[in-house]
Amino acid sequence: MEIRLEQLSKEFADGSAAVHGLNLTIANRELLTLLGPSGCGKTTTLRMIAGLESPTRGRVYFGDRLMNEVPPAKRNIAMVFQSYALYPHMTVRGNMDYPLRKAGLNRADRQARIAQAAGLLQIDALLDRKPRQLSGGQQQRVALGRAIVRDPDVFLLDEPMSNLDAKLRGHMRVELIQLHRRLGKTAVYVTHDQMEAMTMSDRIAVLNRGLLQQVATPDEIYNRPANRFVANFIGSPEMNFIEGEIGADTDGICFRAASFNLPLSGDQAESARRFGAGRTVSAGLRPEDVMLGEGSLEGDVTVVESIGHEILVQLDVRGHRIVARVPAHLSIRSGSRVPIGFRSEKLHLFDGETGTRVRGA
Amino acid sequence: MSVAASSALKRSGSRLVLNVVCWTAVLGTSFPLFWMISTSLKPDNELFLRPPTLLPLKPTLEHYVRLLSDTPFPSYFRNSLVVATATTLIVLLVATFGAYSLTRFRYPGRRLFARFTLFTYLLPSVVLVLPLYLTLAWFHLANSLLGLVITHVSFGLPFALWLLRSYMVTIPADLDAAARIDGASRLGSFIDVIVPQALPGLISTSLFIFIASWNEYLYALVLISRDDIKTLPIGMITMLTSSFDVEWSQLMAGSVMMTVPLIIAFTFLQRQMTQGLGVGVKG
Repeated sequence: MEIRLEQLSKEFADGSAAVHGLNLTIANRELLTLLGPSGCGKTTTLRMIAGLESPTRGRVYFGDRLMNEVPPAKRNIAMVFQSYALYPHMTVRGNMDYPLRKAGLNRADRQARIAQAAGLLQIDALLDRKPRQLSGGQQQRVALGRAIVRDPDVFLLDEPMSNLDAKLRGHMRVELIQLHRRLGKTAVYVTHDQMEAMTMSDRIAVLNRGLLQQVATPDEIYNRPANRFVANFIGSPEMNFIEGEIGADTDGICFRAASFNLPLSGDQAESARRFGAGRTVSAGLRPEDVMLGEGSLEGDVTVVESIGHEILVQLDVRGHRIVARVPAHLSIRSGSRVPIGFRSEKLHLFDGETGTRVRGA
Repeated sequence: MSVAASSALKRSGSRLVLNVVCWTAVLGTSFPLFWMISTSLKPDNELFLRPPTLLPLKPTLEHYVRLLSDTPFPSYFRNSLVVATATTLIVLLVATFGAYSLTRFRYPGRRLFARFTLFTYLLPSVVLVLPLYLTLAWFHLANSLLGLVITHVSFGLPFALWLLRSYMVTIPADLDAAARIDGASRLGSFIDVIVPQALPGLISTSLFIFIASWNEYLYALVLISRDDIKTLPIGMITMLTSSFDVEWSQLMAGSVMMTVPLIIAFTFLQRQMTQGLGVGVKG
């Protein structure tokens, strides 16, 4: 089932706007993640797809069918909530049976479906327990079970893993990916966790303050962020930003910061030239694209943090604070001065005024 | 003496004090009840013995028999039962939907309405006697059970609405959202999910409303003058004051029968009642 959102907007009664003119198409069988900081409108968007909120403006289509006036019950969707929202007064079996009973299935069919879904999620042994007798991970499985048991057209998942501990989360991520492949249904996944978004999604839609920032594959989002917000939001530790301008001299085109220049080459030089010499830009560089021990500049090491096989090094490079992620075998001590270089082909340039990516035309 | 032993002694000492205080309170409050039951079972000649007897020497049910056969007591009882039951049902129905609306829909003035509701409950009932009487008289409902039910509903509803609202606030909105996605209509999700969750609150609210209506005296006195539609509180007073000598045993027998339904209800629903109030107060 393809989902199409056209100019979708939501304003609340108190005047606060959650979503502004969102245009987004979610392909059939795709797992699309709505990613953004809290309050960016991702959950509101999901609830509009579900029919739990009605849009102030705009349209929601499932396939060719306009869904704006269709109640949630008639949309053939399933949703997994952050709180799991299991019915506390029903057993696990009762919870899974509820959507089937509402769909009017006969008893034998219902039992068969429950058995199948419970087997798939390995919750057979829990069927006669009440939700309060289950651990967080088990509750989550039951919530998933209740979602898949009715064979919906669309899965909506609202931060389903944010109440699980880190280890379980990693495990469930893999299971969810497998489950999605196996069921082959369209899924919309809401999260503020970039790790979940990057590992699970076919595509990611990044939202900020109700505005769509970029829709692309995880790879594209990471390597070609559409603007400074996306570049900053994705990646940990955060991307380094250096303010400066496009400079042109006899050697060619370069990025000119307050105290040093970085030469630009290839496509970057081309798009920088088109953007225009003298215009202000921000240069972004991911920590793994900073090299230590080689390069023409020097930096003073202020902090060194070990994350096992790698170390995070904070440096002061002529007044700019730079974070580098380098292999642990480079033994770098805080207080020392090291040569530093940038992989300039990995440099991201953003318009200093609008924050959008400087692209070749 | 070791520290542990001394603190254990202290603990058992304070527990003893607590027990004494509690039991004194229990005995103090239950003695009138005991006296009521005891008196209702005493034959007339034993009522004013000196010194008084704690338990009847020759227990008898004659007062109960006479109360049920020779007096309008059964009619009063029936009227009370009708009024209290009707009041409870109406209040519960309206307040449950009202509380759902106040907690689940967004509309202007929602909070103000919720606060104002409680405010109406704070008005002393004496102030409202005259306006309510005139209004009901205008509709020719003054001297009727229906009029009394309407009056009781108008007093019970704001409180029930407030109690149930604070109860429903604690039920996660995700639950009814989940039910609606799972295929239920709004009403369906309300019945399947909200009502079972709110059950303790519904029970404690209905008990409260039932008792308030069952015991209500002032409005019943003002509104009802026909003997055949009097409720228990005024009926009993009528019986008490209409004869020259007060039939204490009969009055006590009536009081026992008036109290018994409430005690039965409380005994069975005590657990839900305390649960309901506990959660309700939090919201």
